[in-house]
Amino acid sequence: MRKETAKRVLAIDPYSRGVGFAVLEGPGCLIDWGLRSTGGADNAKAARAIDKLIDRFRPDVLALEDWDSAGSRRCGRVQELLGRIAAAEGNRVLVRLITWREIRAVGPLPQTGTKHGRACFLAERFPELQAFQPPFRRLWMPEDDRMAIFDAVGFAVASYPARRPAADPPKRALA
Amino acid sequence: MAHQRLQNYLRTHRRRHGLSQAEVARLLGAVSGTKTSRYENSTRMPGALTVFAIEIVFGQPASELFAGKYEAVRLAVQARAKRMVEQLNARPSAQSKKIFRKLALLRTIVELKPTSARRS
Repeated sequence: MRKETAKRVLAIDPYSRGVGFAVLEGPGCLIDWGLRSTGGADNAKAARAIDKLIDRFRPDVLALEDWDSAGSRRCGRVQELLGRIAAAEGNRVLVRLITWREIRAVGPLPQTGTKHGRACFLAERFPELQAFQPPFRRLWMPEDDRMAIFDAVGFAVASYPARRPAADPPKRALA
Repeated sequence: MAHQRLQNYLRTHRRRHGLSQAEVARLLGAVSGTKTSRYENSTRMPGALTVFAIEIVFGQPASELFAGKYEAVRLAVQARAKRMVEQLNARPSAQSKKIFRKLALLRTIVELKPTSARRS
């Protein structure tokens, strides 16, 4: 029997000109990742791209950002898109909304506290992502589109139940 | 919870090793990356010699690389083996040694587990 953690998760992270996605089959098994460009801020095209991804990968879980949770700073368009996807795909795939608190818990806090730190952590964990790692973002720079891939990988990893360390065996009472 | 595996994991392995479709095509002896794309999108199934080449390139067994297809074939073969077991058991000469050997093989086929279960 396959373990519960071996579910296929498709994580989606919309950005200004499309959507970033990541597919995992287990917390350490990255199957596919990338960006699907829509050419602009177009929710209809983005929804169609997501629909195609779901048809292609037939995931067990669709991981999306919880746009209502504390720490989420998504614009109205993306909030509407995420809400539309969650409502439309909810009947054919299990939708899991991930909060930023859960995403920060995917690795040690000093690294995962910032987006760049989290991207470095994930690139270390999945070496195949190293070629996609965006440069450190300066204050005057806009966010790199490729960050959507790392956010999506973060959502996917966070959607798996955390592995808790085994409890210590009960200590024997000294005679 | 069991889940259906993807038809193939060629794209995953190709991207994991940083290869382009054209580079894989060159390794497989094809002219352009179009063929690789067709294999990845399951619009075309490679021949046996190409499957050997893919195994050599990625260092993975074909049952892993074409997991979905392998599962479909496994289920079909198991269904046929089950039918053969039933037919052999119904024969009056079901006690002969030759049929015993056949039945042993067929039962192993029927009891074959999916690749994912064998891995875990």
